[in-house]
Amino acid sequence: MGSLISAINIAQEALAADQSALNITANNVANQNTPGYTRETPNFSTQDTYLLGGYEQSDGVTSGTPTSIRDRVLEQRVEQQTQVSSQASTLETALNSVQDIFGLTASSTSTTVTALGTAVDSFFSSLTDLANNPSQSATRQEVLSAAGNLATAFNTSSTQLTSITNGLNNDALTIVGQVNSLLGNIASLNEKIAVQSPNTDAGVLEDQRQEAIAQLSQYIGLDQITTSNNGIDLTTSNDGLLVAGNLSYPLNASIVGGAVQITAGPNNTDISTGLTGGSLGGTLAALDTSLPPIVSNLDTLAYSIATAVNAQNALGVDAYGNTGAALFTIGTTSTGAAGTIALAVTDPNLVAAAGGGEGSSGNTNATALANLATANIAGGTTADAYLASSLAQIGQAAADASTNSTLQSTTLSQLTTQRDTLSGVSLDEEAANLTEYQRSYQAASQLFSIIDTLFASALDFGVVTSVS
Amino acid sequence: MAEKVKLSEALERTAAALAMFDGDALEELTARLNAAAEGQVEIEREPVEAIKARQRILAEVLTATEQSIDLLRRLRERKAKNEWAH
Repeated sequence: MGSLISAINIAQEALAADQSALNITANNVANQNTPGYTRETPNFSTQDTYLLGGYEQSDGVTSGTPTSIRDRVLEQRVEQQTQVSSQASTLETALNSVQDIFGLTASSTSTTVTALGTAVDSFFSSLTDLANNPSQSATRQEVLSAAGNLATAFNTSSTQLTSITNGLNNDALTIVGQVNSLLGNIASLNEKIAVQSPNTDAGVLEDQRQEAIAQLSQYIGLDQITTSNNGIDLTTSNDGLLVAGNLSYPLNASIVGGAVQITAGPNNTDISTGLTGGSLGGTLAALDTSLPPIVSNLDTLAYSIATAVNAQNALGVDAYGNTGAALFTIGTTSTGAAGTIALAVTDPNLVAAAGGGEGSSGNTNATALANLATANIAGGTTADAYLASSLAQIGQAAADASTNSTLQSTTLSQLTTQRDTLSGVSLDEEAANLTEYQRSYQAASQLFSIIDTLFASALDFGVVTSVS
Repeated sequence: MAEKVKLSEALERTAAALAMFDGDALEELTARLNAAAEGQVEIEREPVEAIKARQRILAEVLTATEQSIDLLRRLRERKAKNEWAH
């Protein structure tokens, strides 16, 4: 049962962060509206002032009825899970797009299935051919052709990554527009509820506000604070003020230096960093966390191959008897190298196959160029190994995102089911539901144990096996 | 013994069934997995990572379910004792 225990330990660790966020929000509700949630203080009490988005707010609640607490706790759990699930789904989609660029699938991250991997292998293979036939113009031409294909493969991958980045940037701007529309709606509903039903459940108006918050949760991570007059104030997950009473503070989003910048609140505070949750959180996570290392690895590989080949070609002699010229055009640093790498020559005789002093028909330098395939020229390893490692990272990131998205979606389904079945049914029915939930939990626990046992047995045999 | 079962699929279906509190589906899965344990159903070979990833999902859903049931129990206790007005 070792793997069961470890899996549950992992689960508990993973849930700790979510639970912490949940506790914060639940506490917000409890502290703002009904400390009696824990039954320590059954009636409303006067609230102290509190900071919201860096601004001190006053909440003078002295009385009221906690009629909506049940719904709000569960609603907030659903909304929080919606935010997490939406972020995970968005990130999964972005990483799947990256996988598509490199021709990766869930079951294969082999370099040979990728256009870039094939181009790298073909280039070094052409250099080996040149070493074997240094005086043939066809093999020289083949080297230039393969080098050109390699540069094009880098350019294409870079362009596609840039396209994904631009698309995500535009998505972020669109999402912010949708967020802003809902913020105005929620502030307006706060105002109506404060006028019509400051101390009791506001019925349809509260339903409308809840629906708007639920929609908002698809787009962005939120913290909710229940305030006086049946109000709900909203901040982003990193404390950017969105709604305070009847006032909404639309987000401002722009592209600055190629990156999305989002500001919030009356002072336009930059909240771009650390903004999580919803499709906006997923988009920013893809832009800020997932894509940069992929772009960087691609640039490093292009730069490493180009500089190593240029340096080695400069040590040889071309077919005209001159010192070898650079075969690739490349910048002085790796930044942007995959997008700018290009073939520098068109004359195949400029490939420096010969070593110094052996005449233009020699092959010493061609052999040295071919040996770059097995030299540690990229990040302390070979070009092929570096590419393989980079592709494996992409594949793993996509697989992790997929697993996480499935998990969050599954948890969301459960919470939604519980919320829907809790409201509006009799205590007897609720008791039946609870029993059914517990029975399902026990059945699933038992299944976990059975599968864990089968898994361990299968591992012991190491082959397709039936377990007796 | 033509019938086969993939552990990763069984785990995924278990998590999905638990999410929907689908007792019938869980019963069906239990019967199928018990049959596999008794050697009547063959276990299909697959990458270890696929199984572990689904184990993690099910484990997390189990933990979340436990917490949710606790919350529901507390809420119902409060309602039963009329500790909120409705």
